[in-house]
Amino acid sequence: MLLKNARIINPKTNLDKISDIRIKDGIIKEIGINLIAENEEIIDLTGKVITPGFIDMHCHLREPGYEAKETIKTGIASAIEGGYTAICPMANTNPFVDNAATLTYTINKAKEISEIGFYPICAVSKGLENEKTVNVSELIDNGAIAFSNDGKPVENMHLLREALKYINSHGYIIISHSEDSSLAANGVINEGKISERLGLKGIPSITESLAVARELEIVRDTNGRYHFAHISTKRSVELIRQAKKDGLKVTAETAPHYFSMTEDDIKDYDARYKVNPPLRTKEDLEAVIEGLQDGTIDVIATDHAPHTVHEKLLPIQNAPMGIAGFETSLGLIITNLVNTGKLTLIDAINKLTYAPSQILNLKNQGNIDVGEQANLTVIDLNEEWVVDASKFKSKCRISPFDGFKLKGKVKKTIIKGKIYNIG
Amino acid sequence: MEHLIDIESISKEDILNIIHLAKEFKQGTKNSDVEKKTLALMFYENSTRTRCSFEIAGQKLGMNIINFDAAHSSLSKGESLKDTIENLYFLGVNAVVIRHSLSGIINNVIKQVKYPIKFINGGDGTHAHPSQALLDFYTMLEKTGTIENKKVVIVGDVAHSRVAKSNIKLLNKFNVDIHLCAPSYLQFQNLEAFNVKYHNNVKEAIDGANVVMVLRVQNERHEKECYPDSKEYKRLYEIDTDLLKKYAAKDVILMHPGPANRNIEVSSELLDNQVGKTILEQAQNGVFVRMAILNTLLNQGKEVNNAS
Repeated sequence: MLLKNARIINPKTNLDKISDIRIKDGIIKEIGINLIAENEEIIDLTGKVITPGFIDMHCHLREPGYEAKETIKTGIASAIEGGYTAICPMANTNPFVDNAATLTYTINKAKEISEIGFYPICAVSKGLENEKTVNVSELIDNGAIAFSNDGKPVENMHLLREALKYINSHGYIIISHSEDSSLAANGVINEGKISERLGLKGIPSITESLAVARELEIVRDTNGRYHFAHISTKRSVELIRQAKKDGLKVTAETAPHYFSMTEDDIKDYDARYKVNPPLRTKEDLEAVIEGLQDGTIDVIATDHAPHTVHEKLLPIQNAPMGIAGFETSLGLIITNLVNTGKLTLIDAINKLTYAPSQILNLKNQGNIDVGEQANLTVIDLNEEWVVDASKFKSKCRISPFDGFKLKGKVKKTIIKGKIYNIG
Repeated sequence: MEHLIDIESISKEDILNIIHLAKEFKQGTKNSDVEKKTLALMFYENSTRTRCSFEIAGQKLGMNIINFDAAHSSLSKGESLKDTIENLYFLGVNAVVIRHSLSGIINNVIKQVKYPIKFINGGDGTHAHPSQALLDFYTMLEKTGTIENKKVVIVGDVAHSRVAKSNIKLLNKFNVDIHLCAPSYLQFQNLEAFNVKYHNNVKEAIDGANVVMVLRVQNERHEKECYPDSKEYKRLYEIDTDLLKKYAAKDVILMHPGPANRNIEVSSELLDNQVGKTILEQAQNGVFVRMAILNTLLNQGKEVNNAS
């Protein structure tokens, strides 16, 4: 198969030029200008961009246990629709992915569906309780890519310190869901003017930064390697920036909603906007963007957190937290970061591809080169489209971005040379 | 005015129309326009004053009143509020008064109910209690003549009070000098959310006050939360006769949305003397104001034609 005339963007090699790519048996065989077809399919991609396949290092697929919200099958379909060739589902299913049997179940399930890079993140502690570290080496041997209690913070600092040292000793990282649960208790949206006006219990900004500060001290103490998930506040960005300056081996991610919306968008108790961490203030949004610009925030992950439409229509206090993220991710990045001049295209693509592959040590992902697996995403930077959540591949056909006009659309997702055309 | 959900969604003119109509009902110069209409009272939280007040208001207007038994309803069998309300509409109910512990419950359900039933908020969580604010305003106007530029002080559990919020929003529309007084743990977390002045010190707060509105200390909440018990509150914030005499304006009006905790937020002696009587008049005015609300919402030219 020969992909012709696309603009190739490869952050690892800082490459941005128009070339052809020849793929054979799922492997990139040749990259160059004016390659001659050798009795193979030719796909003209003039005007399109090819990037390494997107990697989502933070999503929730809900299976096993919550198949009404999403299944591994619908989750993968949604990820492919969003241009992802590798995904890392979190462990807060039922049962939790804190044991080899459940881990193996999810990996086998994914294999039946697609060859998408499927890299589960396992729990740090059994049952996501603040008590006992999981059997780390057994989970690694069965396919764990990282460890996280995402959805719940690790709040036992003794456990975190020991687990971090042990998990790091195997060459793997912990991904932190930074939250102080005593401050977050029953909160619905960000604590501020809007929560006060609506009479909703607020989640103060320090709920996150307090946990970040505390965990940074553990990282400093253990000289550990640690990753912060879904960073949403100005103070968290400042703390992580300083930690990086001090030489700590920390990385961080944010999600598209934290640079696309603020608490001011929450109108009339609309639970579509309910997410954890909550949408913050304009000041926080600007700090998150600055963090992306100066590299404090390494990665953009979706935190794809699907729920049923019915659940998201419940009174906001009772509705679960989470936004479906795969299918709007690129459009939000191009529209709100690239086209506004906040990030260059190659920087933005880096945070979707090469950067997460490095943090997780992913093989076969995040790089376009001869000999690499053909995991690629084809995008049209100029296509304008309107988000229609009712057409999502995800079971979560409800979104705060419904009706948003976005620019930048995934056209093809190529996994091990297999092309998925995106509508 | 389509519904009464909160003060933000109604205009100054709506408010003055209701006040005017309430006055006519009180004077007996106005007849009901809504006889035979049906009102359902859906109270998911305890209430004496608000519930009885709406019930009596409806009776005086010649309406049919249904006291919906929330505890034994289909809701306890898992039926959604939307389904319940749509069923009530088809049974012939024209308006519902809802009280609920969840802020914004009516905002949530109103988007889902497809039939033209009228919604009245009887108090939702820590969001709003608009009929209370309207009757408080009516009472202030009745007692002071004009409220503009007067000093109104709200003392007590401000943070958890839908009454305080609705009052603040209403009084802000009329250029009133609004002061809030509470210990830090009962103040709003976000002091910029409202256009008011904040005090921790009660003497400073009520200095020269024309209206002192005392809020109920929510004992049940104090027991669960991390802050000091209500004895600590009483030491610093209890309103009594001496305090009012010494600091407030001479003709100060004492108000309380009820039910009062005697000798916690307000002294028993004060409640039972002539100053405290305003609180009973305040409750009485509630009936006329609620008559005005029901008459306004259910008498809007075109007949609400229930499906049959």
